[in-house]
Amino acid sequence: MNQALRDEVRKLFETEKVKSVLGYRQHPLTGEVTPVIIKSADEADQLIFDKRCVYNLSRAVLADMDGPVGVVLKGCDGRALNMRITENDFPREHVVGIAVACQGVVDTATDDLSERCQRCHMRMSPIADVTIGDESAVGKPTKTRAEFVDEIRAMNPKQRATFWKDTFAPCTHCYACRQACPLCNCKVCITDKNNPQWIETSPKPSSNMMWHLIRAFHHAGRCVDCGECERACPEGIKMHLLDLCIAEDVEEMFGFVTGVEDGAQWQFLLYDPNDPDSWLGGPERG
Amino acid sequence: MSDTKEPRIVGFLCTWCSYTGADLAGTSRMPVPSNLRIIRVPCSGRIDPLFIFKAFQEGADGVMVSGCHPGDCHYISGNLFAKRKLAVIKRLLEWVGIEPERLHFTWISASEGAQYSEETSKFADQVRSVADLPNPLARTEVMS
Amino acid sequence: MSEKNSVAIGVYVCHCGTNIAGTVDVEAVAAAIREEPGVVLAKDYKFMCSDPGQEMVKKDIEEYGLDRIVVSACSPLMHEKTFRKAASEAGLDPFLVQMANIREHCSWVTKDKEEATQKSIVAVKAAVNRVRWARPLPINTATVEPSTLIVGAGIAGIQAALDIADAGFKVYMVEKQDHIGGHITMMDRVFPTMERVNDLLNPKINEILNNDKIQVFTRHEATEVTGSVGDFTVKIKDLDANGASVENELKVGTIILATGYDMYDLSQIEQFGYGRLDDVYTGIEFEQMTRQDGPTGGKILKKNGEEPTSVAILHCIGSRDENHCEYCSRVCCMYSLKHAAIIKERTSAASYNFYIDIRAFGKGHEEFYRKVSSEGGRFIRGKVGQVTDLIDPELDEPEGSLIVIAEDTNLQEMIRVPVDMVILAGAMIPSETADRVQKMLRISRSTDRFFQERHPKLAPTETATDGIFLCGTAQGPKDIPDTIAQASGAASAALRLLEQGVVELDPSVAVVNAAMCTGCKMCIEVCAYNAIGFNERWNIAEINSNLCKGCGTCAATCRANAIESQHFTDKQIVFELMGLLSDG
Repeated sequence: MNQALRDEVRKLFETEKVKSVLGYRQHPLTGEVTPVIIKSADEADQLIFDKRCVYNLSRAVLADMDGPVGVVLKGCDGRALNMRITENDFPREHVVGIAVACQGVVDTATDDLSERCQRCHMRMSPIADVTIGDESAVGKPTKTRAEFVDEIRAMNPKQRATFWKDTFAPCTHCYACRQACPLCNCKVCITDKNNPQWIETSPKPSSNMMWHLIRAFHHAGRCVDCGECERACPEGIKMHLLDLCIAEDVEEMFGFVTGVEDGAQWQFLLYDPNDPDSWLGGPERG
Repeated sequence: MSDTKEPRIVGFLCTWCSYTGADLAGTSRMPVPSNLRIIRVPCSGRIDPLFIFKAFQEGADGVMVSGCHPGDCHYISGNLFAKRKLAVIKRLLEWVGIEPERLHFTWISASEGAQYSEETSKFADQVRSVADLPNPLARTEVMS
Repeated sequence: MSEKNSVAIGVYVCHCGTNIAGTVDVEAVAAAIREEPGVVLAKDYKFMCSDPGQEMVKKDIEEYGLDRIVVSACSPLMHEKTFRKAASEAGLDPFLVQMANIREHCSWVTKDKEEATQKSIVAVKAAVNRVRWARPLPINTATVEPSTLIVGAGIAGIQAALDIADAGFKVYMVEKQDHIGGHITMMDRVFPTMERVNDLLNPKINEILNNDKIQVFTRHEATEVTGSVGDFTVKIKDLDANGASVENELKVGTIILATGYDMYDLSQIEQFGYGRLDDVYTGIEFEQMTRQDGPTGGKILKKNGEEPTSVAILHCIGSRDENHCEYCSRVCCMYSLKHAAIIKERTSAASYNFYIDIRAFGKGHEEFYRKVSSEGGRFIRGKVGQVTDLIDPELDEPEGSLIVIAEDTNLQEMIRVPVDMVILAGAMIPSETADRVQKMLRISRSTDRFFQERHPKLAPTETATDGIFLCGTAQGPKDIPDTIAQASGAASAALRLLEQGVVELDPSVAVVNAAMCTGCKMCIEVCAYNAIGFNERWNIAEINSNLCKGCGTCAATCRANAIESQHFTDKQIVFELMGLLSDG
């Protein structure tokens, strides 16, 4: 895998298909796997891809980078990149997708297959200008997203309120979840707007809830389930579960899988004249 | 949570249909719950779901949104754009424990004063029935 | 910051006689609001909208240097204009006036005085909160191209065209048929005067054709309309160009929609036999038969060439019918009477009108009804259930006749009436072009699918889009005098703009904050007016304020909060909301 990746990247540089490549390397001193930007074929030998490559590199692509930018993409990363292109963060030509056959990455704390990968149904990137590794070997999910959400579904309103209050209680409003998210692309985040102030700066149940609700709403129909928000949280808050909850509804109502079909994720912001009134909870009216 | 106080409801009404319908309820002297407070917006399409979050945060016990009937929107399609957003919001709030009974989305035309009176009264009763349940967005909510 | 941070708000609580003061303790409301930050004065007064009330506001603006006004009174839909104008006269920007509706939404719908007072206090607090963040909005003007496009050259379009051309402005008429005149050219006589259509219409048509201010494009249709009030660009297409796309471009200041109606397809209502049984005609087909240039030279004849001995006229076919069109088509009662009168005049046949109600509400209509019925026309109250050619031999029904089966609701019994001919007074529906025209002009239609006027009572000739007017049956079924009246109304509304030459544009539109825009183009997707363009160089959206109607959908859609809906800003709405809930 690594050799194939390095060969392919070298070729991309040599044929001038890319000017830089975003990938992963093992840090020569710490041994940690970290993202890296390489600018020439000579540097390709440091690239790796394995189960420790947890970061979503689509987050790191900037419009003003020296392009085209090659990006090493897992399935989730590719879906996020697709979203960013759809939302016009940069043009498609700005990136060259280097799709790797991903068999899932680990939770670095436990070395077990991470939760997000257990339910991942799309381990190959939809953006794949070149493909590395054996696509047929990526394996199948062992769980469904619904299984993660069922826990909440079983609760009554009071239990839900308590569950989320406790879940969000450690939140310090550091917004690492925002920083890690490939789709938090606002120039000024809603958290930083103070007139009107939507989210109080001090952590408390109401402001925690406000932030995580707005976050989930802003990602409804856009979240690609890369799980970066949760991985980035220094307090270990499982805020991404709320994204999963609403993703269940969005998929059911609007019938699309985010980041897979180009542009389909906008469906939920558009409309169909035949949208059922039952969505709004009321009875159908003429 | 307020136990004895009458629940408070915020209604967002589009100016062309629903606000006019609410005026008609007034000129026809039809009863409208006194705990319903109205914000006039140009179109239901103007309603940012964040307004609804904010209403709950400021202590509203229920939120009502009303626009023109589908097909009658003064701005052609604003109400239909609103519909999808509001549908998502309703589900999202339900996931965090805010009862769907606290939200009411409807279409009321300029001539439906009676409908306005009826729906607002029903909704006020509905909110009263869940007003003691948690509102996890309310400022008054404390760390337990 | 150059902007002044403090505001000076004047609050006025109207008694509206006892309309408000009878239920709301207006003095308590004024007292409660007086302590709010920024409030310089809070007064209650008997009638704020009266001249002395308005004068008081103007005087206070000057004397106390008020820069924000809150009038808590009736609905803003009632008097916002009044107080904006008053403020304006005192030198204050009209957008710095806020109304709190404590009449329609409070005193008139609340019985308990304490509750009503409490509700009024929060409503006024909310208004104070909101007006604090109001900003002056300079009004833009646009020049008006001195010409009008009229879509449709039926009697409505003809009247509007003549009115506008007579006032000295250029008129372009676009008509999909190869002649002008519309449906009326298929008719012979008009009710209730029984004048000949040709005598009425031909002079008008000649006037149109000989007026050098009017340019008629028959066999053309408008395909694209861009721009906004005062400055529309219209593309029109030659329908006979056989694929060779001959397109013309017209510049007009106003547009009048006179697209008329079509008849409901009666073969969809099987039980009346239309399209299946001989001698079952629609009203329009019968009209054509009565014309001298018609297929029978104006004689009323059955298909076999014989004169009928009896004719049944069936009202409300498709109209007032929840399975088809729920509304009343308004003209069918009267033209059915006309048909009975023509039958009486030209044949010796008996006529039977089957009706639900006779709606003879126009001038001379009731008299016409009485005349027709006194001259032998038969009227049977009851809607027909079926028309059949299966005769019942036991009842002695003549061979080859059509049997009209109905319930006579006066006698409360089922009756069978054998006749030689049946005329169906079918429902009127919007022109088949309505879908296309709606998309092209981006205007609304009401639940009956006719085009929607700006206000059913107060603005029946305008659409919600500035500069686009409507008249005739495009707006709903109506007879000729009503059509002519509405056409003249639409023409005079259009002339108001043409005469002025400039138009004021509502400044409460959306604007993009370039620093916040991420260029995702979502707003462009949701704009119903194509008012948002994209600046490729800066990668940001840009709103054309002349096209924007201020619905705010883009602002609510923009995740990045990069769009501000002026006069309905997040700030104004959120602070209003906080005011409404300030008693918590």
